[in-house]
Amino acid sequence: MRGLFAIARKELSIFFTTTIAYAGLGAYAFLMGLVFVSSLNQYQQRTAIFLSQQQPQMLERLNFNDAILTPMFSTGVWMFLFFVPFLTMRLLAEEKNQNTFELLMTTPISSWQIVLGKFIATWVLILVMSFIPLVFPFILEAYGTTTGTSSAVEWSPVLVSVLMATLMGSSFIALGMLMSSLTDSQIVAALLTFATLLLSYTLPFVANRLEGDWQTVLDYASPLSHVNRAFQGRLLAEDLVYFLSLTLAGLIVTQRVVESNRWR
Amino acid sequence: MIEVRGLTKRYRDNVAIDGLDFSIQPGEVVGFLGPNGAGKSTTMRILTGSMPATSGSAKVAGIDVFDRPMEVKRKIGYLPELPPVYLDMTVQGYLAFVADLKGVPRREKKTEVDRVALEAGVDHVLNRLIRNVSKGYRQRVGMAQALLGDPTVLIMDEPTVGLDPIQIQQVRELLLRIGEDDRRTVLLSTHILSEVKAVCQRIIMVARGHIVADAPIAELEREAPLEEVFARLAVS
Repeated sequence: MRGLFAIARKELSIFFTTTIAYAGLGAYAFLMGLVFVSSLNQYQQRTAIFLSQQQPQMLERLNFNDAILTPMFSTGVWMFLFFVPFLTMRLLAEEKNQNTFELLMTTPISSWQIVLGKFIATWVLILVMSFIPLVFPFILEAYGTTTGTSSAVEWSPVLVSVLMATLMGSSFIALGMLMSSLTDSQIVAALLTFATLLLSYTLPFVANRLEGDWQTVLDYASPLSHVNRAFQGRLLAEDLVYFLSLTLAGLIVTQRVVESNRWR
Repeated sequence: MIEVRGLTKRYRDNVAIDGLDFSIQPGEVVGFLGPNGAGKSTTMRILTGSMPATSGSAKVAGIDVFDRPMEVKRKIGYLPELPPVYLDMTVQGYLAFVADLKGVPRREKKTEVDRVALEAGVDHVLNRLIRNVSKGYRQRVGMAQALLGDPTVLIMDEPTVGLDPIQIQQVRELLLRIGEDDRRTVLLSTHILSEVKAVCQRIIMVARGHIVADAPIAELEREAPLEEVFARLAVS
């Protein structure tokens, strides 16, 4: 256990002594802010239109969750596509490139400790990334007004969204780390991760053109279909299983690849 | 302390080392000599458990390297050819990290890091990023790392390569200090003969994957200067 935490602490300290964490989290927070502001603007425009058209029934249907938060989270998912490869690319590729992999191989720690330690450290960053957008519902809650007695923001869908974003992030880290274990070039690791994720993101668009079983399969294979349900406030066991099994599979294969260095 | 029997490593068609046999007694300081590509690094990697052998056996402190690698790794301090340092860590942070990996007891960690830093002469750069210290210091940080946990066997792969003459002198003095401690067994690979003469009592020489000489330095030098012996054996 100690070796695992030593690895995790070392990774985190490198994330924060270099500019990776600051640049990554800073850029992400800024972009999410932009997304939030533009969703908010659209919301205001719509309210203005409905008011001018005297359509109270439309106004009643308009709420912060559906009109601002769900679109914001859906856009945020695309940020993960760009940010995760940058966080994971150096995890193992850099060790191999800098000869520090030999240090890990010659000290009494197991491959699982190496892989899980690195996973946990990156997961902490993903956790922060998933929680950053929580600022926005708080702003809505503080400044938004509501007609009824309930609060302006419905919190359970928001929490489900954050949870699912974290789980999706975990599966992306596992994938990114696997790619990083296969090469000693960080660029290649980042590109492979990005390409795989991009491919998985486009699956629902392909599925739309298909029918029958293929549509179901492709739809199920894409992380987008799973998170989007969560962003609408639906927490399904199926979606949890999808991300958890992807994470586990990625970690197991990565461990095998790292371990293979001992017998190749 | 180190027992090697019939050790062989093949990469596809290439034979890196072919049936090496040697043993090193506790407290010995042995120079592992040979031209580039003779199989020195390969042997050292196998001994430290970072690479498997194709066939043969190796024991360190009586423990089989292939059967119980974790126990062997606790006994060995290893300095690879290029110091395995993280450029974005401070010297202190790096040594503390390696101490954790080696399982140095938590209570002794601080004193142990200070001890090896002093021994390797990096005690005054502890708070600097490794990125910002010179090559010679990185090499010494690598040495400090190998000394952590007070291993009984030290394996060092060309510790003075790429250093300037003053740094070489300093590293050599460090090696002498390390070798004076009778509890430590040292296997030192190099192709700088003066270094071997200064530090080691015995030489194991390999060329093209075979052992071509294994004797005390004094014995080898009886016939001709070490340089000549080396040149003759390397091409023989």
